[in-house]
Amino acid sequence: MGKTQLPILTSLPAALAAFACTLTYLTYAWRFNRYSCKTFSFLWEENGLSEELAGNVETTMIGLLLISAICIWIPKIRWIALFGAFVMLSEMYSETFMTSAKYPFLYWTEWALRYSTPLIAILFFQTSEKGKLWSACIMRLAIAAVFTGHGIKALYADPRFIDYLLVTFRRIGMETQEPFAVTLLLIIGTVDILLAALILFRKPKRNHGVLIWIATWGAITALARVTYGGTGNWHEVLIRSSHFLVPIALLLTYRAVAQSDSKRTA
Amino acid sequence: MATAIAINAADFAQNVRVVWSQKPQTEAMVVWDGDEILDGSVLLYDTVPRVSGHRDYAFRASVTGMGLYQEGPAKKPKDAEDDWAPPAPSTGFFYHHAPIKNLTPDTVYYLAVQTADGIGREYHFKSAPKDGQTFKLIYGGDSRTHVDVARQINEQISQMVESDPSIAGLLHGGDYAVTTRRDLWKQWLEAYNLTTTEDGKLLPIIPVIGNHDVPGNSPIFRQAYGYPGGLKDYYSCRLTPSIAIICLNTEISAEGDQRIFLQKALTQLKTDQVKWQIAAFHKPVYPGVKKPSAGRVSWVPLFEEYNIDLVLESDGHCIKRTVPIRGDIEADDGIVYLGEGGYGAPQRNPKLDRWYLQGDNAFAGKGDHVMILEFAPDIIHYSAMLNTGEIIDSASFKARR
Repeated sequence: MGKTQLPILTSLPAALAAFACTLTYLTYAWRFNRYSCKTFSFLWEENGLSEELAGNVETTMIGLLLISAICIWIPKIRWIALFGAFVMLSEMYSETFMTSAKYPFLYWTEWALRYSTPLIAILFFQTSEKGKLWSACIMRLAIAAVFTGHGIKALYADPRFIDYLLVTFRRIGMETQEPFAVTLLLIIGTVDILLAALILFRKPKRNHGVLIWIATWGAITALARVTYGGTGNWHEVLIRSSHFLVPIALLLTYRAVAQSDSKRTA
Repeated sequence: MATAIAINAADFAQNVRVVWSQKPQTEAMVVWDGDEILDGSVLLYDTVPRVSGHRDYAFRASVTGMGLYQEGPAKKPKDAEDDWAPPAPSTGFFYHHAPIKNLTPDTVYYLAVQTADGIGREYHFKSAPKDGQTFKLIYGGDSRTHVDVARQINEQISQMVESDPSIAGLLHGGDYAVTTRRDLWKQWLEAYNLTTTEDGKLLPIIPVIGNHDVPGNSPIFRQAYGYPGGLKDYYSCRLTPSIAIICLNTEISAEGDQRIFLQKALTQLKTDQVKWQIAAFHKPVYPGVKKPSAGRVSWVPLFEEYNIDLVLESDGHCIKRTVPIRGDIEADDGIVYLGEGGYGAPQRNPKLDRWYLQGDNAFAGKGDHVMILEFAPDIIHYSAMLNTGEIIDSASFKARR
């Protein structure tokens, strides 16, 4: 953003971030109820909390997610949506410290958009330019973190990523083998990390194309959960809605800034 | 006699166990542990006991692999102080693998480990049954976390093995210890040692890998069981010519090389007209609690296409028997998914609202347990037994072929 003065933007980017927040948290609430959550396992299995008490914590978390999904739209109590972010942080903490954790600490980057979206929306809804600047800054960091996390996982040739690729190819009639998927993941992982670097270090006004790419790729990878597991996997797409809605929000922000700059120059 | 032999100076070989993988009728992997490398140790075996006298065993098997169990990451104990720090690597604990081949089915083999100090305690085990013979297989998964429960169940199993000679072996559904840390695996292997009867009868184990057995790319599962599935940890176990158990690995890609392996294995079973075809793996595809694992997409269509008989699963920490399932609905000719692991892991309430756990043809509950599968020529009798000895669920599955 540099020294550019941010105009009072239209509320579309904020609405997109809030929409992502609502979709993500409503879907997580459904998932926790259906499949249980990591925090439950962490408290009950790993820390010896009673099943009942861990269940109560889980129910509370579901409640907080539902409240967050709604409150993000109500101006005076929008801050309550931060409880949803707290729930996500609790999930990540649990995932990181579970004894069976495969990629401890990588989750914090992978999930960056899921826990930062309420903050992004709250700051963006503020009328001050400073708030919007902060919001754009957080969006930028979170998008870079998500792409770095997923990029590293792809470089590790994560088994689930291999499955997504191979099953999707099989469903469209292309029989491919595991080594091909591993090679493809190597390329995808490298590109993901490159995109993260661009979004982080390149001047925002030169990143419009990159953001379109990121939003498209975010949508494709979210939808890959459905091409992989069928429509029953709809929830896997929605919990990743921030992966394509937030880049669009950031793109709209940059565009508005660019338009504002060009008007000023003219 | 057993006690006298157990204190023999040559008894440095600990946790002697028999592992079954591809061909249990004719092959076995004998594994033992030691506080140090037992250099020059060999396995002696015979079809007659050599417990006294010159102990002239007819056969000997060399050690093909030995080494230090790789250390895994430490976990902070629940009651640890705030300033807790991970301990130094636990004490030396070494594995030794001795494969034996050309066995005769349904034959008792007597074995002992010979070290530089002499010949140790004599154990015995029976190779896998002859075709058509009725026998029982115990199925348990998730022995992690409460090793005291695993110990108690193993003592119970030892009594069963003593009183019921038809028990042929134990299939473990994975998650042997909480982490891949050496001392926790030592605890588990010592606990499994309790299945050995007083007179030295070993209960062969068919091991499946679980998610707690792999963090940090740990090789400890392979080291403990003699690489039953090579470096991929999946294999097809032809228990008898009529019974096959395909042991799969839910911790790697389900769709890639493993699906090709599964398809080839199932095609082979079809060609060989194998009567009972079973799949076993850790993370469930029709779970009692959690999300379905990747096998739901990659393996279930093959299970249904090749019409396998039964699927054994773990990981959920409850007791589960689904309705027969085909095409994601209840069907008379469907496949039943059994298990979910109660061999020591804490038990939780299954989600009873899942369609495949409802009705007279299904069961869901919780409790420390193992399952018993009795293979008769045309029927499998199944029962789930709690650690109190109570049978909490039972059913029968008729042969499809």
